[in-house]
Amino acid sequence: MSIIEVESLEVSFNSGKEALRVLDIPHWHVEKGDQVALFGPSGSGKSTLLHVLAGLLAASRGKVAVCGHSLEGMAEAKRDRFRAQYIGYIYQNFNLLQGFSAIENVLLGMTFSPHQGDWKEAERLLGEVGLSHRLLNYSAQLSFGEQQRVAVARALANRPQLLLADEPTGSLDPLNKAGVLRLLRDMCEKHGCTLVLVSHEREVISLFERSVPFLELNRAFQSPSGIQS
Amino acid sequence: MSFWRIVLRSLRQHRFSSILAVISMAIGIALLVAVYSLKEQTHRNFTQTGLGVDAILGPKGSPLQIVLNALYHLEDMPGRIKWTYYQEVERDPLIVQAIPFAVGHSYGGFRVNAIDPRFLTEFEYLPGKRFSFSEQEGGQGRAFGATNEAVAGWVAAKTLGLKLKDEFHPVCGVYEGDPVHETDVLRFVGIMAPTGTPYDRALYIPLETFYLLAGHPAETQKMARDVGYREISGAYLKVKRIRGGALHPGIQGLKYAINQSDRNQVVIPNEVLPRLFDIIGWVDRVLLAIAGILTILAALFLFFSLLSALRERRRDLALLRSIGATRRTVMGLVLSESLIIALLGGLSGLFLGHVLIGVGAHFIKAETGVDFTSGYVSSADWAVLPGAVFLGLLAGLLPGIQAYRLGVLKNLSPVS
Repeated sequence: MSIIEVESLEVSFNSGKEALRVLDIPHWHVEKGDQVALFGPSGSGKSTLLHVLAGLLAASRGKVAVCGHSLEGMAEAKRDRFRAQYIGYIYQNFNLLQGFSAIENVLLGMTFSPHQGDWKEAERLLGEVGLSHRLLNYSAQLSFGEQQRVAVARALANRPQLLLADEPTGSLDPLNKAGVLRLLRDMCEKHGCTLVLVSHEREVISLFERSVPFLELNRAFQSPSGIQS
Repeated sequence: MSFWRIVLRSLRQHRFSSILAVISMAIGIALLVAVYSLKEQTHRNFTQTGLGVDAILGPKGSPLQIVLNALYHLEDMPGRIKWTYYQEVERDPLIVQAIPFAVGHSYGGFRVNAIDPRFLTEFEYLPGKRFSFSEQEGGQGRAFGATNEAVAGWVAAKTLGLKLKDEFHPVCGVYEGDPVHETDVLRFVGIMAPTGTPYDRALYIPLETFYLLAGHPAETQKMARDVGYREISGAYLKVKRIRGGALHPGIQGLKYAINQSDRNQVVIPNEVLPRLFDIIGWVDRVLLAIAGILTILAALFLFFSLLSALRERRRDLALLRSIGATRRTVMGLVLSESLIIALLGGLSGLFLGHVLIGVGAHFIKAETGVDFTSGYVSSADWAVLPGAVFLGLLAGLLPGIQAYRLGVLKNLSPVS
């Protein structure tokens, strides 16, 4: 069963008089429970694809279905609710809320979802990522590796079906990098969550059984003249 | 995590600017509350029918001066009237009660009014309420009987620390440096229970005593013996009432007739006091304008602090959007913060305003004797919280709209 179905997806941005096409994916799908790594250089449109899959960005053309929901034509407020219910998102720069403790950041991940978790569940999640001793620490009091672990716990707090990780190890040292990746994959497996990770780092990609060179997937990047159309 | 917890966390994150906004709002609102309350209480103090005097028979002169002197123990009486004329007015069928008095003495900064003994026993300062010396009601002793006896209003007694049997020498005049009647010794035999009226702020001696004080010239002393020669400062008049408690319309005719005379006039306090407010009304308006401007400045401060906080929080709000918060939710967060700050400012302002009145009342009473209370609920009090909500919404509207329009991707992670 496909959790992601992409058909003839195009995303273009207005750039002066011309449209700048950054995504052109004829067909792509991901099965439920898969762990897929998209590999490509910076600026190749990987994040843009994740934004579309998360409903943060509307496709210019084509069909996108995620978790059985067709995203084209979906109203923005509905996409917000869809994201709260089905999607977990991890960013390269963690994006923790500064004024909130680690456990409050995890609780925030549950706030807008139909699955209303509680303090105990957030505590359990932080325990699973090895931070049961850091519950009340603010992000400024956590190392980068710890912050990314909190971000993983937060991304899983709404019990998502799909976890999107955008360069999740980009800001980490090699030791933390391997630890966070292992954690991410184990947690997705444990929670029955599909993982789509994008990275430009070969050593990250090499850990995945299924990796997709993004430049092969995205035709917008295949023309010799770059992505201008 | 509840919506309100997110709001409170966010306020805590920007606690410095939030507290400043609350304080500035509180100051503006406190001033509004205090000015409004003082204005209304002044009006109430000077117009309450509880003073029990429908009209004052007095000498020719400024009607306002007569009211201020006869009822509020301020200013001087502009002259005197003949006792025989007073008796003539007292006999008019429209007059239910007439209490003659003579002013011009003081003690310890309080006026000493020589007054007919019926003032203490029969005069109603509020419908159905007469002066009391009952200990249960806060009074002591009894009404004066002999000519060397005096009683004190509650505030005067408390301020001067008077006790029963204390003796004093009245001052012949009401200003500092006026001569003291050294040879005349009067003794307090009663302290009146508090009435909450200006009557509490005076000392009272028998009318007859006024004429008998040894320090007075012979012609004044002659007034004690010869009623044809006697003069008084004026008389409190109670006028016949018609249905509904209104003054008998005939009072206007009597007033007209008396006012035709060269030496006398009838002053109706409720007609005169509005003039006082016309005179001092501009002070109210200026104070209200200042307080209003301060409140508006506070709302502007709130607006700018919210805008500035919003600039710092773009990423946080974008992140909330990315985890499922709708545009309306983030707008609601900003508006709620604004509302909470405004409400806290409103509540603190309300409290502070009453504290200001409480503190100010002490000094005003000491200076003027006019009674103010911090517990008075003015019409502004009822408008404070709805007004604060309105200002909060107004101040938070533009920042809220900006939060609503915030681009999620623009304010989040770098794109790869």
